[in-house]
Amino acid sequence: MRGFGDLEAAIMDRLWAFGEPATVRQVLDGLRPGRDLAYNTVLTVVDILFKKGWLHREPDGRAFRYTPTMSREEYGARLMRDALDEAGDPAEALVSFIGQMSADETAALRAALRAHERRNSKR
Amino acid sequence: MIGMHLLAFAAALSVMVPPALTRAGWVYRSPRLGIAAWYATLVAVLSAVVVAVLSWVAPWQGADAAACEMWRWCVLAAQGGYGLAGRMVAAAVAAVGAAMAARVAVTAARVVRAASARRDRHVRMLTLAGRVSPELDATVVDHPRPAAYVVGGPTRRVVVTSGAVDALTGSELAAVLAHERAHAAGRHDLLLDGVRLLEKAFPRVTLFAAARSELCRLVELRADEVATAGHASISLARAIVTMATAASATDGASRPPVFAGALSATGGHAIERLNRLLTPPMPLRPAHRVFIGVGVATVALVPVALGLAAQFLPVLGACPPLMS
Repeated sequence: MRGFGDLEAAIMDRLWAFGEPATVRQVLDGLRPGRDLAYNTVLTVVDILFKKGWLHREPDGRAFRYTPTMSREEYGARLMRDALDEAGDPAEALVSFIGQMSADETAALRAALRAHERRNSKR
Repeated sequence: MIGMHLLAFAAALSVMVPPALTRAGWVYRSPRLGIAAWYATLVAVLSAVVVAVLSWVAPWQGADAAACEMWRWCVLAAQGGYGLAGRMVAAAVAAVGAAMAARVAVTAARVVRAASARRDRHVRMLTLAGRVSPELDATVVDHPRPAAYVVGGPTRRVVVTSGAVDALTGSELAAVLAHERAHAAGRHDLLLDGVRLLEKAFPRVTLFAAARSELCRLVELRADEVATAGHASISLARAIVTMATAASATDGASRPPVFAGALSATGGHAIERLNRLLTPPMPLRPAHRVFIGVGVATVALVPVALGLAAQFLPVLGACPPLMS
């Protein structure tokens, strides 16, 4: 395990799958199969995620219940904005498969592919 | 007066190379040689300027190359032989050289820091919000827009959206991932970073802008070429059309109008890529490829070779300048 990165990802995964506020104990139980983890390790990493702003928490007795601040889809949207935002700095750090195009340009692409497939089916 | 010759060489390359390489058929047929040719040009121009400045500021040869009056003048000026004015000219050349070097260094530091901070943030988010798919050997991000990309930097993660996984057939998706892996394996992010850096440091040098835009185009052609070595090119062609169509359908309407130049650039490249996949050009013959490769390497090495030759063969250093 490189640092806490993998464990952080696994915990976020659990919390998104859980769908409602969960205690560290519940997260730990969800992670247990196949992993030998101490309660304190999970508590530490959950706390890191809380401090990074990925989780918020509400008191529940003497412990806390944690929920992700954003859904996985919302992070996905944020990632895509970051990766494909061509209005700002055009995806500087990335090499993207295809850029943003106008409707005319995509129509031209479709036409070219159709023409090719017609030619091939005649042969 | 080797410096003058080198500057003339650099200027000639800057003017003649961009239109020639942009139109050259062999670049279209072998994008890899095209990428090498652009980088050779950049290396030649930059090293010509560096060697020229060095030859003025630190003349290795001393004053025995007496055949060249200008050369002698420069050497004496650098040594203070022409008094205050001469020393100031030499100092000015040194200052210009140092300023250019400093400019590249400062821009490099700033750009690299900003880009790596952005990458790190992106990778952190990917690690937490993306799903690593062992069967795709890629990170899947939940987003309806079909997209695939490589995050630059040492890890070079291949990322694909759930929208792309849904919209593409198995063979199309495999071809897209092969394309992205070709970018990663070829370190295309570094190739583009290098030229972007030059463009930022010297925004008025048109050679750098032309090189950046052509390299963006050529790395795509090259990645397509690598991907179609192991996958049917019709799969990649269909994937281009599907992804372009879905991308403009999902958020084309809500998107603010994008700068027209950037837009037509990506659209133009996509059409070219599609045509190249549907009717692949004849590959270059091996002899042809070797010939071009030798030419490209020669261009890259000329300035440094001339600089060294002028040092070790006084005759060359003593050549009278072309323009006198």
